[in-house]
Amino acid sequence: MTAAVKKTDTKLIELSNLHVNFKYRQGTVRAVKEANLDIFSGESLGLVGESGSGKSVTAQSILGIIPTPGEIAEGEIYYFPEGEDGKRITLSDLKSKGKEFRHLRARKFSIIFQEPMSALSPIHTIGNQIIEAMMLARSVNKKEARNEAVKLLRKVGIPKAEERIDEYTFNLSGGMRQRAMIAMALAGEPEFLIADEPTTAIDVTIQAQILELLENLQKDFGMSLMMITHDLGVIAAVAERVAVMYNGYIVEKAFLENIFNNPLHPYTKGLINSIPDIKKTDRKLVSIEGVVPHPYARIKGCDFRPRCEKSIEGICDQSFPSEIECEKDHFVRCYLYNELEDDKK
Amino acid sequence: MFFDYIVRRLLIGVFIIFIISIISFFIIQLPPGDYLTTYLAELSAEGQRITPAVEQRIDALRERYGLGDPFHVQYFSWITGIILRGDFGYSFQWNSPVSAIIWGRLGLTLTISVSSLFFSWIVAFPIGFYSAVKQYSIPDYIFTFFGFLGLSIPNFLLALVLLFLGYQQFGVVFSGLYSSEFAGEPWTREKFVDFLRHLWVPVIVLGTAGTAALIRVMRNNLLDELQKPYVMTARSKGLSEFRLLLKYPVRIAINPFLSTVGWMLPFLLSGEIIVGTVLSLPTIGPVLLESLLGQDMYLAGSFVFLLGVLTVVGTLISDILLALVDPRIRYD
Repeated sequence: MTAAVKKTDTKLIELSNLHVNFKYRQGTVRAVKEANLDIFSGESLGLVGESGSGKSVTAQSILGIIPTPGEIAEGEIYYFPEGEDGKRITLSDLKSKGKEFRHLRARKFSIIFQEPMSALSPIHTIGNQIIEAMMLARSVNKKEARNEAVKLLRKVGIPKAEERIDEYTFNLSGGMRQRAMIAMALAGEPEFLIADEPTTAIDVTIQAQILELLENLQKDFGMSLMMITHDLGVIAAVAERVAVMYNGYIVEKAFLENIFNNPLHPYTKGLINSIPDIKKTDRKLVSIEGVVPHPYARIKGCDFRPRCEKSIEGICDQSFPSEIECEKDHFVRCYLYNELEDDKK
Repeated sequence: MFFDYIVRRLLIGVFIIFIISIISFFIIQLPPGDYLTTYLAELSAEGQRITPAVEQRIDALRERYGLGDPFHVQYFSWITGIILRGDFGYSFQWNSPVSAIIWGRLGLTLTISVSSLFFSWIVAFPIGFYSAVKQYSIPDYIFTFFGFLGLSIPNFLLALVLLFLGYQQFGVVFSGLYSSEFAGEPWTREKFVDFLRHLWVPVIVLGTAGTAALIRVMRNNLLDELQKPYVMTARSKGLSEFRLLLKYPVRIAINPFLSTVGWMLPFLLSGEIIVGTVLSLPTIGPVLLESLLGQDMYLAGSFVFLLGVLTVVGTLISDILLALVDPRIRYD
């Protein structure tokens, strides 16, 4: 775990009541629902949840790269540029393929994807792709961009960078590929970096190296990092603050210590509980009963209710609970804590 | 590595051409009898008496061209003649060396086929691109409709309909490759212009089905590629949509497009044989048909062989183009 939790209050990104829908002929998939989330300058935020919980779509909506037929159905995304006091850009109002948003993607935001093999073009050299990113982000000519790209490749730990830059992805190992991907994401020295399951497709032995690299780079570049993962181990290693997603909802938000030491939402509790403990060899793997609802399903009340042991009849099956701040900076969406809210009043 | 790849392809190509030569020679030998027996049958059918003098001439011809020799001897003398002297044998029907007949016609056939190929590419690429990027839009449905229409109409029918409409509506005869006054004339600028004016009919007739097929190929490939994560990566870099599409998914989706040279060339060449006959073009089509009917074996065999060679060469060209475009093939 990170030693010092730094509390910054300069907001960089704000999601406000964000809804993202994918409309198909068979029905509408509500991938992100009522999401409220602040991302602060220089912090590292972990977004955790199982596959299909809407983590990636949340990230893609910030960058304006939601794949078709997905679109923001409701709510806003704001961006507060660093060093420009009080300026606020409403990202959700920009045309995602328009010039303004493209410039922001080139210069201010970046993303690292899960599978570098498929996220990088198989028929262009890594150099070609990094130089392209570099030239979109900064006003440099091709030669300067190449020099910078070599420097970056060295920085992310690729040996013989001046030779490797002309390699194709299929000639590199998984770890090297992901390093190249990271170098590409850093080309514009972004303020905000999203890492979407960056270690999932990588050999376990290399995972730790990649995480450490990301942590160091985040400090060097002073960027905000949003780490998307289903792996609580990754969260514990990298994140300062955590948001837990379930079926499109952000169900709990808190600082890392609070999530691990005092999880509130039954789903978060289940997640923490299911971390295998290496010391207790006799223990069976604990899992959360039941399965995630079908994407087209409409659940009355709380989406987690069918799997929740503590669900209260007549309350939990009515509507999705709203957000409650149980302790400072610790938010949860669960009816179990409504009394706390009432007590405050 | 690229050089190795090309050398390997060349060697395979030579080997395949060798096989093709044996097979084409074998096929034309398959029917019982030879040209001379057909010739004799024709003579007697016309009521002519087979005099001993005729029979003697026939025997002399049979002796001279080794028609009575075993297969491998005949094949060997044929293939060595081609390789060493460019001599493809003798056409009994035309009473002239095969090489005097084929080159001009083969050239025209090739011109028509290659023009059709380019026509297909030029039409299919933008339509396929548009149909994929704007999937399920109204133009996409319209293109799809006409694509299937083009795919399902047989060449010769299209040729006949065009001939009919041209004559009925405009009083123009769309047949041939140049106007009658240029027949047998050397190539001049006027003849070339006249040639271009005639060329579009067979090109469209031949190219329609292939174009329709290519539109589907391009659309499907590009649709596959558009889903790939690297497209999202390119978007996340802030690249403009059009440049991004051309640089990444289109570059990869174009692979099967290039390999069409391989499968479309034989398709066009065999289509040309029918279309050439319907439109009475001075190409190999009508001549090949006649030579096959009359068992004019050296002429027919040479055509079949050369068409095979062209197909192999076309495939080779497409292989090299593919390797140029896609490093994964180069490094294979």
